[in-house]
Amino acid sequence: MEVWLQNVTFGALVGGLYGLAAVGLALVFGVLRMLNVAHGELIMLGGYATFWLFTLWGTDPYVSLLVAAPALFAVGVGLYEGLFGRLVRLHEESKVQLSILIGFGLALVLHALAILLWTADDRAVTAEYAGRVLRAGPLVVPLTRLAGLGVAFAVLGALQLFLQRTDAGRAIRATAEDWEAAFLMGIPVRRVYRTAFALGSALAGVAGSLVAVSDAISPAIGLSWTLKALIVVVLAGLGSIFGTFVAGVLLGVAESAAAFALGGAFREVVGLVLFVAVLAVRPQGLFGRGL
Amino acid sequence: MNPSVAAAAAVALAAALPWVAGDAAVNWGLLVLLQVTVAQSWNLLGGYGGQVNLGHAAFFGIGALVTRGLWVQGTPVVGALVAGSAAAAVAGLVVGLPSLRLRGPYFAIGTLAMAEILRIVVGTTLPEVSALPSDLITGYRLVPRYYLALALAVLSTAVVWRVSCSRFGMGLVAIREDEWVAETVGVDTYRHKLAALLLSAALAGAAGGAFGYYHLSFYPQFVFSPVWTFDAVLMVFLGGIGTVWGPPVGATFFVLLREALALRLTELHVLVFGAVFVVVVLTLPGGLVDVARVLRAMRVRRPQPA
Amino acid sequence: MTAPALELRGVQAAYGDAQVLWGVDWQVNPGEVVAVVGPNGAGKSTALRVVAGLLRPLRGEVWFHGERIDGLSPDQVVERGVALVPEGRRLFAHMTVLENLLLGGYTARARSVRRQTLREVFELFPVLAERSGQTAGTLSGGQQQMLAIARGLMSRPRLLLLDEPSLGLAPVVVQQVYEVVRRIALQGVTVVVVEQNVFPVLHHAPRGYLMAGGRVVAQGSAETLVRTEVVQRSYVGG
Ligand SMILES: Nc1ncnc2c1ncn2[C@@H]1O[C@H](COP(=O)(O)OP(=O)(O)O)[C@@H](O)[C@H]1O
Ligand SMILES: [Mg+2]
Repeated sequence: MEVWLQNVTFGALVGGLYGLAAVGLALVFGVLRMLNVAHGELIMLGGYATFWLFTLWGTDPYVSLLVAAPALFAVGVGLYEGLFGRLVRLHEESKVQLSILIGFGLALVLHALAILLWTADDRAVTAEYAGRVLRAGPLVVPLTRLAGLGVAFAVLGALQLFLQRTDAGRAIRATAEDWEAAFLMGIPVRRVYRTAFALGSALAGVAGSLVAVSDAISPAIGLSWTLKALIVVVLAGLGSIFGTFVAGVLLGVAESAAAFALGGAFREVVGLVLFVAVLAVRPQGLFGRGL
Repeated sequence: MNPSVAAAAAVALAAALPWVAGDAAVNWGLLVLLQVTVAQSWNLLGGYGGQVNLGHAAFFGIGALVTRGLWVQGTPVVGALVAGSAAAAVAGLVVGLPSLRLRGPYFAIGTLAMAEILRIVVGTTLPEVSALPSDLITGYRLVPRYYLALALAVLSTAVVWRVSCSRFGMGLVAIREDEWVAETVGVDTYRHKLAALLLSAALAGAAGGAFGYYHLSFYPQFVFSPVWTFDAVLMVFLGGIGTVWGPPVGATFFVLLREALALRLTELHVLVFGAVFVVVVLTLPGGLVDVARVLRAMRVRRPQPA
Repeated sequence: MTAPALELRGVQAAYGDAQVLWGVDWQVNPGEVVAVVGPNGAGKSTALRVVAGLLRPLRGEVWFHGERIDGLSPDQVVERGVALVPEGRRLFAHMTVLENLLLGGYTARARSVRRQTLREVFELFPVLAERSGQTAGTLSGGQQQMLAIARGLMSRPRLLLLDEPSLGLAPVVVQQVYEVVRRIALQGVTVVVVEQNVFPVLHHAPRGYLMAGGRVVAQGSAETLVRTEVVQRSYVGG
């Protein structure tokens, strides 16, 4: 029983990170109707930013968030200007498809580039508090994971406030709901697209920083993070940030339960099973709604 | 030149290759032919049906492992190949049945997930290099493998050609252009997509089977690498998506360029071809076969000298 | 002589390969209320989309108070002082009434006086003030049309384009809508109203254009349009 509780706790802590990883993807899909399957590679880049800041200058990983986020925001602007922004004029279906294909190519390129630049080795940020744990009765909670959950929650809360309470945030939501009507409001839709894409990338950067502290990073982690994010989005739909967070926790718990009950190899299989189950239960699909 | 004449000439030339060229050229030709099948199989579903398959490597990999496993244990290679091909088709059903019911990116996500999970599972359960036993190595000859690859390339191109001028193919194109409209004019979109997926997966599985029969040793995980999927997509776009002759042209060009650049390192390969892919998608959506068409159209339109 | 508020000169437009407008000329003077009528598919909405910058014309020019505006993006056109209240209203249905209104006043020019405008708009549409916290999708049809117009006014337009504001509304509600249009015009805003037939606009727009098949086929007083429209229908056999 206690072992189970421990596993569920662990899964929930990881799951908060899944939620954070998924929100950026959902934002980009909701606003631009493009699926960036290189999202996980952006997470990977965020992880390396934190890793190098720590390794070269000893920057605390939670401080390096403040660098990783804007750096990935800039990367997002570049990717939008160079690649994804060229697809915005296409009609809905080819836009989704080409964005998926371009993202797929981009994912492989970033993966290859990371190997060439930084080798294929696993890396982790080993801050002096890395191994510390909190004990609550029989439960053991690693400090970095708890902090990760806290940061994820804070970032998502800030995002929620931004989208609900500011003009720029409302413009993003309006564009997601009806881009033509948004244009008629005088909203510069193309600029909103770019901002949303860059914001999604910045969120990936934050997620990556957290992954670098609580997990290990390597050039290969991208695809599995993309999949986790995709599955969370399919679970939660595009309806709400809070829903995405909950779905992330759900996936985290399901994964760690499956790994515990059936063996480590099943951790990855759970996501696919959930994905198929959701499609079977809610065949109208979850991707279609506004933000 | 008439395309069917050109095709016949190309096949005749390919069939004659082992008679006139050395092992290196035959090996090179085999790789081209193998990639033709890989590209055509992706093209069938992606180019005609408009369904983005990001897990094509899974079908290729399943075909490779099943075929190789059975063949090494003594099954005749054709039987092993058919079994590998069928296994890939079954995998296609597993991911296609739930995800093709819906429009949108579900199929892309499902295939991506399936391929990655298979890659991880195969990597953990079969960590050892799959090397041919020594008795099979001593009897190893390249030429039959070359002809197998040729047969599959011809078969896959014939299938795509046959589909392209059938009612079934028209239904697929209708789905690609606008799924909702296709449905309203009476196309059973779900069954069309499923059927195309089965064909596509079976062909990819057969290509994988030929690879498993051809290659001396590889890590089982290698045949599930997403790079196989990427190469398929790249060749299709390079040659011309949704056309019969685009994939063979793309495959030839791709293997040629790869050999010319001597990109032995996977990372460099991906880096270079990733860039090529993006440029092609953004600037030449019709691919190389379209360049020929555009040039021809320009020549026809030019006024004749008096 | 002052420049017209809005002028279309030989505007041609297409969706992809399908050409829809074949040379449309309009001239609307400052402060006028002008009707544009014509059967479904005549190209009325397309012409408005060209003015709003949602669609680039193939040929021809669009002038707004002496400035050429074809080629500008929609947000730039709004910034110049043109507001289009589109066919079907296109409210942000999942957002509140207040959020819809705030979005209407998104441009820099409008934002600087947004509170003031909001007060004026609430005076004109008291029902929206009552329901400002409600989700737009839950309003009645008439209220939605009012919100759509109010949202357009939030950008402080000099020219208001209304595309079939009476669509799907009960006759009483249509009257209320046109009463609002009259009050807006009284404040000096130029108004172009598109309707499928003349009758809803008859007493509100002294002058108008009749469109069919992507062209202007008649223009003049409301009475002229009524007569021409009747003749046209008898030709078409409708
Ligand atoms: N988005 C579109 N794509 C293609 N054709 C369109 C589109 N919108 C309208 N059309 C066509 O353009 C023509 C004019 O349409 P529209 O301007 O909406 O007419 P109206 O507003 O006068 O009813 C019609 O034949 C219509 O089918
Ligand atoms: Mg209309």
